[in-house]
Amino acid sequence: MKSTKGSACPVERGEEEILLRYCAGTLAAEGAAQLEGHVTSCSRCRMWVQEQQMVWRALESWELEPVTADFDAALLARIAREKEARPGWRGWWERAVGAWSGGLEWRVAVPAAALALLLAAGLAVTNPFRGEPVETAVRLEAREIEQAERALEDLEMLRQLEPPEEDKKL
Amino acid sequence: MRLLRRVLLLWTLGGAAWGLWAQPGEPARRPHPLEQLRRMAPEERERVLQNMPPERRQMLEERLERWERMAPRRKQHLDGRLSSFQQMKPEQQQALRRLARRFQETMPEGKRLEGRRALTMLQGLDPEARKRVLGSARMRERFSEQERELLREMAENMPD
Repeated sequence: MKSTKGSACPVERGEEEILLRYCAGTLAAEGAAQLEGHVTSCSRCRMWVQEQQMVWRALESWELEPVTADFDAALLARIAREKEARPGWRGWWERAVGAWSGGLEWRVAVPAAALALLLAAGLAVTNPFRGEPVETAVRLEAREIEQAERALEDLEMLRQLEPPEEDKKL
Repeated sequence: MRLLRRVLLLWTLGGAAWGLWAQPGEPARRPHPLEQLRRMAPEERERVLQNMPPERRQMLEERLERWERMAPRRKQHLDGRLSSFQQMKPEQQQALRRLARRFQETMPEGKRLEGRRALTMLQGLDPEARKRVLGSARMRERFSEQERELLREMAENMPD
């Protein structure tokens, strides 16, 4: 893996925030001058800055359409008309859905809830976080104690069939 | 509705990919109960064995203590033998247990040590060499025919 320690490149160090501040013109003069020197020699930073500057330029050139003088009054009148034309049950339903989804459009909230349920079901079936069986040292069932007894018996048998320790120089 | 259908499709594909990636491997193997007992602190062992009948418990504790007193290399050697023994087929294990019992019951006490040494030596030989050694004058002098036959059978059935 390539070491980024000590590198002057903000992209390599994962410190793009400095570039962002540089593009926004909020970096101190000394820091900006240093970075400018680096940007001219580093193609990755240069590209990053160019892309950022394009976004800034686009934002600067974006102009809002002027609204008409009676825009607010026309909008309020339209809302009132639609409210009157709506059946009663729809108002109740929208209030219920609005409360449930915290103001989200039902078209967003319902699929989101469905997705959450499906993910929960999916995880229940193929749960990758399912832990390894936890080893509990203090729990040993009667059957396991019998296994230990049998193993000790076999160990004793094998020991008794071998010459004593001093013979084997073990 | 189209959005929901897309979500369902994505979930299905994603779930399948995830399922393939997260195939559960071999479950972690718990150590053999004997190993667990050995690793336990005295108070844990006390808690685990508290409901055992006193005689069985005493026997088990004595054997555990005997093992604990052994030199580390001896422990390692015997654990290796036990592991080989446990890998033998159950009927082979049973046969060796029967032969070991016969050895303890029929071999006179004064000959047992010599029998153990002979058994270790015979284990390291191939069947032909084993037959020659067992038929030698020295072996015939020391062991009866039944005893030599028992030693042969045991040498053949002992784990590596």
